[in-house]
Amino acid sequence: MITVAGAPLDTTTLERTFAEASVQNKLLEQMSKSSVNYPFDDLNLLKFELDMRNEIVNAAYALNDSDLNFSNFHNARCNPRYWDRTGNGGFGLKRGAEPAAAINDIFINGGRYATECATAMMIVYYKALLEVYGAKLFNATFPQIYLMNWVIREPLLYQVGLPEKVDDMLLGDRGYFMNYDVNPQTPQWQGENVIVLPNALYYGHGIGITTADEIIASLNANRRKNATHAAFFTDTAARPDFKQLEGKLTAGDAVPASSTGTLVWKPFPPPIGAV
Amino acid sequence: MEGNSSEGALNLEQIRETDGNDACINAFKHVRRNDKQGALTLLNDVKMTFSTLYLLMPEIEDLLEHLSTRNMTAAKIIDEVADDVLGRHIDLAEISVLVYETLLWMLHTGHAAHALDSTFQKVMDIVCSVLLDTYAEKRVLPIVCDLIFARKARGQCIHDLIWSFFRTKDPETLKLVAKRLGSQNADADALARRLLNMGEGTGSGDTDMPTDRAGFMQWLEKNEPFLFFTGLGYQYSSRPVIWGVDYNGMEVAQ
Repeated sequence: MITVAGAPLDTTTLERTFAEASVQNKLLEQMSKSSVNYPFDDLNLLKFELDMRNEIVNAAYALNDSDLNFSNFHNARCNPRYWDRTGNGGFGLKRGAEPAAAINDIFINGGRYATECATAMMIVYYKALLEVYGAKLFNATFPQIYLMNWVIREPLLYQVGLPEKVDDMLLGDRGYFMNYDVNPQTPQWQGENVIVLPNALYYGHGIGITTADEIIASLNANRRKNATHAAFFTDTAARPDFKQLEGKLTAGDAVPASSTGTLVWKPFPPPIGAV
Repeated sequence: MEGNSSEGALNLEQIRETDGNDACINAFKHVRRNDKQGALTLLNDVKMTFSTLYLLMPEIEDLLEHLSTRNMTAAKIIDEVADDVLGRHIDLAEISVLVYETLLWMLHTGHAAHALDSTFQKVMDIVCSVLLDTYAEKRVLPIVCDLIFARKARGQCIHDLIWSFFRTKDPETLKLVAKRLGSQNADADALARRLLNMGEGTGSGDTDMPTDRAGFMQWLEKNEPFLFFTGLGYQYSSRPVIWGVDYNGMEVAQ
């Protein structure tokens, strides 16, 4: 069920504003049919979440189509034109680089980048926000970007690093496949972060877009000898704080034109180890 | 399986320590140019450390077949881990005394090295992981804990080390981390608090859990029979609940 300002929502009118098979309409159907209440303060918040989730899905497809390589943190690499590789395998936005261009470069020149599945999820979120906000607001909102698994320094995105138990797995959610019995020689297979896609598919960096069964089979193939636990999909999901992100969009109308010009770079906090 | 000790090997280690890696490589190259057998004696010296062997690997590709059994095994492990190809040269999943002793040597003589490349760190991650999991060698936990905090101080990756450390599900891990509580190094203290569920949003469920070392150790002693480890790590969450206390079990027991 969807409620807006406390009242149940008839989604018929809203559905007509989206293409029939769109992610937004599938989400409306998912939420409406759920026994769980999805409450929104107003219709704009609902529309924002639908659009944002749609862009998360689109970004997942796009990252899958890019040449982004898989690696663990020790072998992580990035395009030095836009990013500084940190000692722990993360990527920090290069001084003077435009945030929007730096994110887009990962999709354009993916072959120059290599990272693991959690960092790929962060790239998906930033790309989705770039599409929703536009470059002007994106650059103003995220003048510093740090990509390194769930080490999140951007308060607006804290929530995507904090999965919680959910009743419904919605399109655009970040889910996790767990592999308790992973081979100790391949810790990168201890689990797989995924974006939930339409048609019961998932995008996980390193595995690609596929079914839950295929992901579980891939993880199971990387278990230790005499393993007793099969990999499984957890019932937790991480979701951005859509309300907070929508607030930026509204406030973004007031972003001064100068914010698209030369960026005012602020130094990163002192280097920290990866956790 | 190793050669005798020679002053030469000692010198290589000393050169590395005092003059740096490049000086060590150059010294080895110099010996090798004039005396191949002497170079092999240096490589197979019992005092050779894993970190020095790793450093010299690019210089000794054509000497591998002359390496001692231990060094040859270490070279195979390096090659395997570096390229992420399992079972090409050696099966780390198979229990083997030779592999076990080699892994122990790699850890004991390699963990303190810090001026080597990221592949070396990756190799050390796997050495720790295999020793702790395949061989259940929990005596190395203090070294792994030291390595976690040393890497943290250097801004290096500790993601998989933390995961393999806690994968042992051994309460000793918590005791080792607790030793860093109150450290004068703020980063070390912060990391210890985080790993012990004392950070923001990482509550163990026990709001009375003391946050000083002595208090925590007392608390741990009381709760140790009811600890559980989740297997979750920083690949899953910014603030994974790595361990906790089974309060239901505790109530039943009482």
